[in-house]
Amino acid sequence: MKTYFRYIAISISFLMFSCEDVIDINLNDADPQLVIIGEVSNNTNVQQVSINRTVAFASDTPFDPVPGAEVEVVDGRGRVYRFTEETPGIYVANGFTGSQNERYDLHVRVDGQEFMATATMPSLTTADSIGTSVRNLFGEEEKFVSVKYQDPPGVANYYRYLQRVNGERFKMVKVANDKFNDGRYVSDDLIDFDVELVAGDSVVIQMQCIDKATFDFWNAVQSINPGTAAPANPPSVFGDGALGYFSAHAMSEISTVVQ
Amino acid sequence: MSLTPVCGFRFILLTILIGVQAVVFSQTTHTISGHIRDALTGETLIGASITLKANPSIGARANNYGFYSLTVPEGDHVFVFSHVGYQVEEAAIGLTGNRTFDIELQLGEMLDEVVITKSSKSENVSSPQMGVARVDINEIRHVPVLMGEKDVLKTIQLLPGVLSGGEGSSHFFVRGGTGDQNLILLDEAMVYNASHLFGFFSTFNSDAIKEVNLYKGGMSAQYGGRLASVLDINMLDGNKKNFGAEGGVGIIASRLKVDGPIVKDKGSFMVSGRRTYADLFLKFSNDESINQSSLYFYDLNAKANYRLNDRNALFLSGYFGKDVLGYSDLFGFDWGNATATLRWNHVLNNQLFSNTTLVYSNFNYNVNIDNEDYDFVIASRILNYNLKQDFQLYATNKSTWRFGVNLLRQRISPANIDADEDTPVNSLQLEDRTGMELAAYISHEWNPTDHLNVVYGLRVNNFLLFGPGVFSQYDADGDIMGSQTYKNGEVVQHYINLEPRLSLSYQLQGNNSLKVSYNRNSQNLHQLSNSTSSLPTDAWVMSSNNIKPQVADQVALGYYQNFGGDVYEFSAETYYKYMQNQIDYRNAADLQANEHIEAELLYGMGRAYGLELFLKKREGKFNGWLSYALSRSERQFDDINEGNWFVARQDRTHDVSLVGMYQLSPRWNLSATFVYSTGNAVTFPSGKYSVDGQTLWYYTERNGYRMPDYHRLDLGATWESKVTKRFKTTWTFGLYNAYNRKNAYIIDFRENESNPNITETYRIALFGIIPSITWNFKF
Repeated sequence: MKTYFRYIAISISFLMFSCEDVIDINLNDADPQLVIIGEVSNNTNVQQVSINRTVAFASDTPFDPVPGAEVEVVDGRGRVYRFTEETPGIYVANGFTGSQNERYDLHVRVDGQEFMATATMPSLTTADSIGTSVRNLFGEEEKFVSVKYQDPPGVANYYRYLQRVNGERFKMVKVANDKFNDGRYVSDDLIDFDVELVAGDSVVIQMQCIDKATFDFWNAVQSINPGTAAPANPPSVFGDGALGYFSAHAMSEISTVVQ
Repeated sequence: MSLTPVCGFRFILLTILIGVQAVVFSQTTHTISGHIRDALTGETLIGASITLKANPSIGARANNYGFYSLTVPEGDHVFVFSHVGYQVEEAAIGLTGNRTFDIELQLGEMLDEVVITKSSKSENVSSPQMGVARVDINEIRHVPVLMGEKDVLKTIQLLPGVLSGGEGSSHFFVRGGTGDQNLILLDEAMVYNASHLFGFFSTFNSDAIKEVNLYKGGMSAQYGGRLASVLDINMLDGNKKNFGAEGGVGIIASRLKVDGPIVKDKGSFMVSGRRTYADLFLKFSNDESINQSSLYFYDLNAKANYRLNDRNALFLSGYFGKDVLGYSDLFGFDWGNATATLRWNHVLNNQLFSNTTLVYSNFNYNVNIDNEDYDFVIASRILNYNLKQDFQLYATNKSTWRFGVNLLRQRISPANIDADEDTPVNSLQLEDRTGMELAAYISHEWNPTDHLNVVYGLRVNNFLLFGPGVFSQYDADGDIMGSQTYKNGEVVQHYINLEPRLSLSYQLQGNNSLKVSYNRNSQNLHQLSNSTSSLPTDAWVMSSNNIKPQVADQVALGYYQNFGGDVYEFSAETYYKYMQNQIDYRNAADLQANEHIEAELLYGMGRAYGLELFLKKREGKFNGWLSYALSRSERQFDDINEGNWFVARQDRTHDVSLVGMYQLSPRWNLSATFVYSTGNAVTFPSGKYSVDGQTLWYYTERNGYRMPDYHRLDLGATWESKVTKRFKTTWTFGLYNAYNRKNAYIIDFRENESNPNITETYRIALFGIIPSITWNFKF
């Protein structure tokens, strides 16, 4: 439904002779805050946790890695997976493949501070078809990819989509839930306004079945727009001490060539 | 609160009885009463005055229906009838008993020639009412506005203490309050969404309006239901003597008003309509997605009145307005208000005036999605019925009582989804909510001495939330603690609020006065919006087992002075307002089609204070005003900003408006407005981080930053044709944002296209310089 309101917003701004320019503005430099992003997937045997600090707004490096942390994940059966620091701030565990419906506890110790988060990997829902859709917006044809899947009825499901175009890196498109279409055969439009698809582009869609906490994080991020009265940090599973999330997700990939 | 509703009403009844006794024991006097009307049109003149020529301090003022009542000692008197803009009439009457006397006043030909009596001119000084702004409809004609659509709601934003909702917006904020804390009444009917096209135009077609009063504070007890202000709009009744038509053609809309007598001098009607035609231009587009789109709004005001006899009159008025927005076959979206008001004026005796009002008001919106993939409708509705009984008792010429009851039934149907079976969307039915507000009030206006004027009163407001439905309770984290099912008509929650009101003016010398006021207001209807602009799709909720009524206490102190023979008017007011049970939202709150919407709410406190200065030149070739407000509005929520007070979004430290109008020649009138204000308080990031190659913002303090200062100059010119006997045309030219200032509408942040590690700030400015032209006619 949000998409439709977005169209409305676009039509309004189109009508309003608006003009846009880049300006300079002075923003405060907040004390750096810890950011922990942990992921456990069913689709790889190398799991990764990244630990960084926020940087000043004007900085031209996107993050400030935090080395020397202790990281481990304990699964529901008590098995402990220790992570080693591969590059500064990036911690990996090899030979560890996540399983659906398994519970995972993440433990992180940074500079004497402990952080803990728990996630349970949802069951896998896979898209059974993928195709190109075309929408005509103010005389311009906009192409995007749509996927179709059967949403499991009776349970809340959360999805996160990433898109890889012509072999470039995966980039998140959106998160979605089944609030309005629980149990339906759903067609999800994956519209990324920053990417212009043309016929012949090869597109890989990664469909992650995520838990509610991860959905809440990304949903908070994607629902912030210039019209948000009070933008705020997305909710963190680590509490006040650190931003971020710990996602145990079941994922699948599906690919197509843009028509 | 231990006081029962029964007890509250008993108190009011008792007070009325005491008042009536005061009448019984007063000296031998007689009452002259009647209606004051315009001689040309028969329109009643709200606020017109009658005074004794021998003693101008004894007088009365016509009420909202043009009715006056003045009680004076037996004998011969010369009465002076006057109204701003009208010629004064005198009547010598020997009073030997009560007397009904209607009078018609002639409109002054030129404003300069109009003799206005002292009492009319210095009303602003002597009246105990403070925090009030009367908008002169004739003034609105000359104030330049966006696209030439003259607009009451944009003109009131030029007054001190009233802030604009944003660039080109007809939304307004009063004394640090939010938009939903303004009570907007059109012929006593509540208007929920007072704007078209997401706020760029108000729903009030100024052709149909007779009188506009905005109360920023010190509102008398007859008004209740909102915290910040009351905007009381009265529609024209229609010409009782002759048929007439007026209208206009502007760059975005056309207007037409027709009025005339039903039975001469007895009844009249007025119909006024307006429609935009931006969508007609869309049809010329070659692009299918554009020429199949729709975008328009219309308004229809209609009113009829009939005077049955000297003591009884009926008024029926209605408003219908709708916005329609459709984009190709992707979606259709429409919303609108409909109100109907039936009123019965009854003069019980020369001193007691009664008005019975029955109001129907409906606001709804529909979103229609019907394309190859989806077929569903989202619909929402607010429906209310309101029965009001108001009495005005003109006990003596020093004492007027107002009392009455008000029964408001409100039903909210939140956004429901009705989906086709084959559509991959589930239908969703949220429970309706029904509430009832039962209010009673009494207010006494009293002049104990020639210098002192007092209005005091009390309003008792009872709110009841009824079943049927499932009502849940939520804990501090918004998790469900329990749910309870209520049957149809069962009371879920009951709140009583006692709202004392007091206004006092003390005239120091002839032309200046000091005023103080205190008022408590409560509010049981709340608009939920976590976006900067209010949308028709914003959810409305009533007070409930989770949501307590919002309550505000305001004290104000003011100094008023007229000088230069009442040509200049000056006022200074300061106020302090404390607000309880204010509403904000959890982070990323889901406010759409959410059964547990109340779980997303946070409750806190607010305070607002400020100083408002106003200087006006009321007459002459050059007239206009300067208004300045220094203010602060803050909120405190335990779960926001670490529990520290933060400034509200609509907090603007300085707000200046300068309005000038100049009569260059009998045909040409020039005007200019300049506005300057501190930028809104906003939340900007104070750092950033990166997840999966995407830059995210790190926020620290709520509303810790400011948008750039806003300023703008608008120019206008009006040319009037020679007035022939029956036909008059005017051309209005306007220039919005004359020096093309790029005021920031949005400031946002993004990754630089060539290097995503670099973050850039960009600004979107909405309206540059915009010329407008409107042709108006009247016959």
